[in-house]
Amino acid sequence: MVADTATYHDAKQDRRGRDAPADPVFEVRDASFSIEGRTLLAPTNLTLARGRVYGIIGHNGSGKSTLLKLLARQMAPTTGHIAFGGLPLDRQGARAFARQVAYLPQTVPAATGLTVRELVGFGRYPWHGPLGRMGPEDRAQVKEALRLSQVEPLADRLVDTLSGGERQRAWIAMLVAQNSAFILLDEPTSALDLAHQIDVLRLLRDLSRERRLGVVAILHDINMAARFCDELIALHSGRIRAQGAPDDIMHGEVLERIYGIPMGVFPNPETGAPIGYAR
Amino acid sequence: MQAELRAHRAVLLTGAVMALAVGLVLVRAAGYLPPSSWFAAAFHPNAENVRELIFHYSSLPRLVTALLCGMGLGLAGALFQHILRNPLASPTTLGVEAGAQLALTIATVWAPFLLGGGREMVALAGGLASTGVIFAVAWARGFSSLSLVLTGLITGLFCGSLTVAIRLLNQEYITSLFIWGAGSLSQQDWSVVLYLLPRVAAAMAVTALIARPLNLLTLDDTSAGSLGVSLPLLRGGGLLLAVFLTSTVTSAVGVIGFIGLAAPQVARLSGARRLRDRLILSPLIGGFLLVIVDQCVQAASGEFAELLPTGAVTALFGAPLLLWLLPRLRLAGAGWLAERATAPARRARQTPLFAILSGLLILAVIVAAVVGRGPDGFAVADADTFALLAPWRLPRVAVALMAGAMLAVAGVLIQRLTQNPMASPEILGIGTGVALGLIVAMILSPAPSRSLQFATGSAGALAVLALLLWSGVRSRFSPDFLLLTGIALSAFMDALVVSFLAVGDPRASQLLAWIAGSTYRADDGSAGMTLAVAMPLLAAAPLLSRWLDILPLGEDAARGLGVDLRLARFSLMLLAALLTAAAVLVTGPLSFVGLVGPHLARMLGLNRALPQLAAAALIGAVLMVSADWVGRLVIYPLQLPAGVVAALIGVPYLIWHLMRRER
Repeated sequence: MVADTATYHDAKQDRRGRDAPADPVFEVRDASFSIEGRTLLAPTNLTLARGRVYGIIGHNGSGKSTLLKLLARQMAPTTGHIAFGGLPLDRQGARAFARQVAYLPQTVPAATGLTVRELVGFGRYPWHGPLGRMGPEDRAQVKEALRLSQVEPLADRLVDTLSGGERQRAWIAMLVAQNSAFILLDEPTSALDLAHQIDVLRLLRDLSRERRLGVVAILHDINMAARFCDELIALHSGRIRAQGAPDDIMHGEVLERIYGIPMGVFPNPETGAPIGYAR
Repeated sequence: MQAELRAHRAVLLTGAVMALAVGLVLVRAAGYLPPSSWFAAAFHPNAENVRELIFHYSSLPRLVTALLCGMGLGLAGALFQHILRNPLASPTTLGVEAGAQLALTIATVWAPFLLGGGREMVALAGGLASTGVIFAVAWARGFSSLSLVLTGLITGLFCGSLTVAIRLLNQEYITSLFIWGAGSLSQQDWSVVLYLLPRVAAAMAVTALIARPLNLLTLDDTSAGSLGVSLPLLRGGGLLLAVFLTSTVTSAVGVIGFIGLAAPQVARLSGARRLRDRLILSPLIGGFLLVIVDQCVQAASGEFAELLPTGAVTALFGAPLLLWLLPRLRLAGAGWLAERATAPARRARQTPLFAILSGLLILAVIVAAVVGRGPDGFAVADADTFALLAPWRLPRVAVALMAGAMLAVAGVLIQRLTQNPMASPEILGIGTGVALGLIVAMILSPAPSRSLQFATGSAGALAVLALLLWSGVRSRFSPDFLLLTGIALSAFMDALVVSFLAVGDPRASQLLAWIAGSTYRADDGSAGMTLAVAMPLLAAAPLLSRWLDILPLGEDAARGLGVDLRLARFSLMLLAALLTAAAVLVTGPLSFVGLVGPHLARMLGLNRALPQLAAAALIGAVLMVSADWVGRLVIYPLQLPAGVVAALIGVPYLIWHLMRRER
């Protein structure tokens, strides 16, 4: 089993041929998920690398959240397996995995009674554990996370009193403090207005560039996803229907297959980037 | 078409319940009186035939009483559930019965002349008072299902502990009050039937009159209002009617739990969709269900037939039924019970706060140690007197201090674990588990040693906890279900304990004293034992504070941070159970310090786990030490148990606080 995944890992490294061997990747091999006889995700194959922003798109109930929860180890696949860094997910300790992969659920409690700094400090849990103390390294990481996520001025405010966009940035800062290789986000922009959506997505892209983070996010707005992601993964009724760079996805016929309605594409009058619309 | 089929099913089910009840009654009656003489015995019993006399003066009125009580409660439950649009509303869960019972107990002991003017008026006053408190709280919090049921529960438990305290101080009434309080249906003549019949019949007639406008309450308020209905009048009238029915039944036979919850639920789940159907079927199901339970009780209890209270036994049936119902209730959306603690937006300055709390504790300890009351009034002990008194007073103070701290810490653990600020060791039924363990100890040994009590008490607490965990695994640890399971378990255990008390076991008063929470028997030995247990347990709590901080962020986020949820939840529950068991053994299960302590700590602005734990422990200790001291003084030379005093101080504060909190 270990040998198997190691081979996958090596093969993948060779094919991509640019990442250093120390860079862990996500390997999804024939992983599926069903509950009570309903298949939410058909056997799926996928490889995700560091330093890239992946956008998972698709209609409601297409299996987006299921895929992300499997990656985040929130659920175990019914068949097949998922490996990270060459090791199957179920063989990794909870904290060891959290040091590599951070996850932001779709809904987070609105009232926690915590300050932003305290919340971000929880991101260090995988490193110090239930009994360890916050050391200088932990504090430095928290400070850096606050800076990178641009919430330094809010550090001593209560999370409960922040606006939607600020709160989302505070939670992302917690993920950053986890200092992981990947961060997974379930609809990080769904409750935000346009300006804050761009704000959060730009932050994610910058983090990916600056820290070589692998970012995997479920996104609703196809045009936002196309603008900020390096790669789009489109799901339809539990299967990957299209996968590739935004330029490869943003064609009328591809979008039609993804969303099941007639779609068209026109170029952004300023940048020339393709913009999808429902016909 | 399908709706019609479902309505038929409900009628069929009701028919089946009725047939079972009638069958049971006939079989049992035929057992001691030939069917040929039934008619004669019912109307003109032969005075020389003892069996005919029993049939006429005891069996038959008992049967009719059970039927009438069940019908009244079933109808009351259906009205509550419909008017409040809350599938868990019922005379039991809203604390109406407990309020009525408290009022009747007070009247029996201090103002018996009131009872002459009509028992149901006294009971009605009590029922209305407790309902009023519950609605006032629910009103302030937007009438959510959670606030209604949890406030009802707290009020119910509170009235219950007051009732216990009153009885404890009036031992001469104890047995009669107990059997009555637990809902004994045993009858000596037809007077109770004659009392119930016109009242239940009148309530049914009124219900029939207002059924049509009540139906409009199915719509939301604005549409119902636009159809020309005076909503406050209708709603108020309907609730008054339901409270009246409950109080009437309670004043006649005592508390009969769960029938009022179960009957309308069975009617609804078997397909009675329309209000009219439910209003007709619920009383029928309730009445015949109670007859079935009562017949079983009579058949099973044999020599205790007159004593084993049916009301306690309904809870034995009802609690599992509630557990079965829970997953089937169509509750408005997931997480309907999850009420978030709205923490105050200010942060406390911690150093002065802890200085004040520690100061308060030291003050409470000193006052409790040196100030007493003698025949000549209050007395501050001088050095010599204190040397004499110290062996009596110091262990009590130490025990109260430790118990208060342990309960409050357990409360913090449970509130953070369930993410619910209204959860507490009391509500989860852990205290009742300890009571059950104590009963086992009393059965095992005539004079159970303290270590045996601790062992069986902890085992009882752990058993409750295991059940909670088991239901937790099944519901994926949804905090709502954890709470509701705790509620059901608590009622179940209560029924067992009350049955033990009611069969007149001589050890009952020992158990009763414990339920009320006495520290009088504390001596060096028990103080040492409490200290030895409390220290390591209290020291363990801060070690878990990381988990306590992270768990309220939600299951997914906690798992994302690499918390081993099963390990964390298991450890927290285990520690909470041990703390509760150790504390409850000395203070009784109903002090509510585990609810009030953590609440106050949060209101002081302590949101992180560690400071909240520390402050809650200090507050709990202050509360319990002062409660013990007050209990020693107020009715000198008698004493009030510390647990009851703590509840008397804490619960009104909590309810007042919940009432004034803005929506």
